[in-house]
Amino acid sequence: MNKETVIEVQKVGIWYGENKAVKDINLTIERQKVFALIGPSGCGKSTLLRCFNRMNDFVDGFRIEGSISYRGMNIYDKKVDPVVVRKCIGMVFQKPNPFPSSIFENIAWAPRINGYKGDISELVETSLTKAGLWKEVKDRLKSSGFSLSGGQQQRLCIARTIAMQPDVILMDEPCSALDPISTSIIEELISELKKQYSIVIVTHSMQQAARVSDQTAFLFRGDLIEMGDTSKIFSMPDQKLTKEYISGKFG
Amino acid sequence: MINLNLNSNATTKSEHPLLDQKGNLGKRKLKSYIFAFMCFLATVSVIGLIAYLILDTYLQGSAWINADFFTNFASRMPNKSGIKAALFGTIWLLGITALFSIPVGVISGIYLEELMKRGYFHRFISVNVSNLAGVPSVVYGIFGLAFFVRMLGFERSLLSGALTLSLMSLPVIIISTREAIAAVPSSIKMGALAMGATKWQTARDHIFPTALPGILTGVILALSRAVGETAPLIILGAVSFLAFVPQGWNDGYTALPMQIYTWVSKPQEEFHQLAAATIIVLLGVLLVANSIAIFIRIRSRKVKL
Ligand SMILES: Nc1ncnc2c1ncn2[C@@H]1O[C@H](COP(=O)(O)OP(=O)(O)OP(=O)(O)O)[C@@H](O)[C@H]1O
Ligand SMILES: [Mg+2]
Repeated sequence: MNKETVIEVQKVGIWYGENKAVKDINLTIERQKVFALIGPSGCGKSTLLRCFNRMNDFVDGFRIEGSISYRGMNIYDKKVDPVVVRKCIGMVFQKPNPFPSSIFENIAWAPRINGYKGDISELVETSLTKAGLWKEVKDRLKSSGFSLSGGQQQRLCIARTIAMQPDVILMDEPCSALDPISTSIIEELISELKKQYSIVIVTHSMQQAARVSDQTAFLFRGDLIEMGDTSKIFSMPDQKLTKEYISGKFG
Repeated sequence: MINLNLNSNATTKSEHPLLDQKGNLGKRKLKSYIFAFMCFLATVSVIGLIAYLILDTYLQGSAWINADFFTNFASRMPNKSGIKAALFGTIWLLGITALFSIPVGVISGIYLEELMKRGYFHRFISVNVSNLAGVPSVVYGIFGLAFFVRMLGFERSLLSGALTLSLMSLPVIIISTREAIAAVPSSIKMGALAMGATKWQTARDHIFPTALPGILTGVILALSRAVGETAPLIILGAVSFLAFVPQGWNDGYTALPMQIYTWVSKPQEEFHQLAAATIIVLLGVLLVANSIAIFIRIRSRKVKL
């Protein structure tokens, strides 16, 4: 396996007004790997994740210093259009958020507005298949996205992200609103997806991080405490704090 | 454990805990009844008053509503009088006003809420739009007279009237559009933006359709108010007797509320009854306009859920 870097975080500090939510951290995210961000609530995981596709641009008072490079180009460079960044780096949210339209439309919308030239129906089918949802919905593509169960909705959101053919997929606690079975379906899906995409996932579940990720970064109060191979972080972490966190001493 | 506890309770109080009515429960229930009764009273008195007004108008005017009433022009003789000119005038006014105020109002609302940068200028405009919503209609009439009739030289035409009514409707349409848009869950918006959509694409395909029912409510309110206005039309020089139907935007006109106003101020009882009949027609026009809007609302909801 080659170790190609997709996202490189260099000395990134993130501010919300006067509050510095993330403090000067460095990270490297590799291609076709699953990268997990863990840490206690409020430590800045979502904040950091949202910077990878410039979703923080919509927050008032947001400021970033340092650089986040995607394939060697700083995504916060003046020449870079955030719309294009979000096309290459897709996002799945914590709460499933299908559009208030049909299952088909949910997936077809983004390719259509981005001027997709191929056959949209075919793209819808392949995306749903990749998200493991095709069999369940193929007879009801016209019904509303809201008529699906929570777990199905989340897979619909994943399918919709896949349909834009991104390079990286960001997931912010994608299973936190789901039952154990839906969770395991999505975890399998993640392992499947990493053959084609690079994935960054935020999770509160140590087991999930251990199961699905190749690399893990542990954040604490905005600082990066430790980063490395998941197997190492979970078996013999260098830092005492990491050890305490993964063993559930605080959370 | 639990069973034992229940038993011991039962022996000391000789009553099941679910049947215990002690404490302040009675007082709380009484307050709740009083509150419900007051709500009932308020609703009934308002509905009763409106029902009385409509019934009274109906009893006075219904005898005058027949085919002639719609096909005759206003006349000195009550039994030869009709509302042809006024009805067509109102339909023209409603049409032109809708044509101007809906697109301008809705697009301004979307712009102010979704696209414009927040800051001093944004706040300045927001405050002023809210203030304009409270300006009396006479003032719009005076403005229309100075600006459309005189400065732009539109004369006392349908266009001057409709543009003035449009201006009057705009603040309400803008404010309700903004509120309807603000009520769209941000998760939908973020979802769309995260897929590499521009703000405009997000607004057009997701925010606007989701907000449509709320926007339509505002549009109905604004246009209903505009169509019932008399004061600005008097100032703008809508005529009270007109023996022709306007043929285009630059014609003179009269309108239903103008007609009502003219007839009510006459001494003869018959003209008062004619005014009542005209009120019924005006209510009918509003009902039709509202039904169209409700129809669109239901349609748009069906697509969604
Ligand atoms: N939109 C915002 N405006 C201002 N401050 C924010 C905003 N979002 C997050 N913060 C602050 O930034 C810090 C990090 O928040 P963040 O949401 O990244 O935490 P998190 O690690 O994702 O927590 P959780 O696990 O609970 O989701 C917190 O102190 C939070 O209060
Ligand atoms: Mg979070």
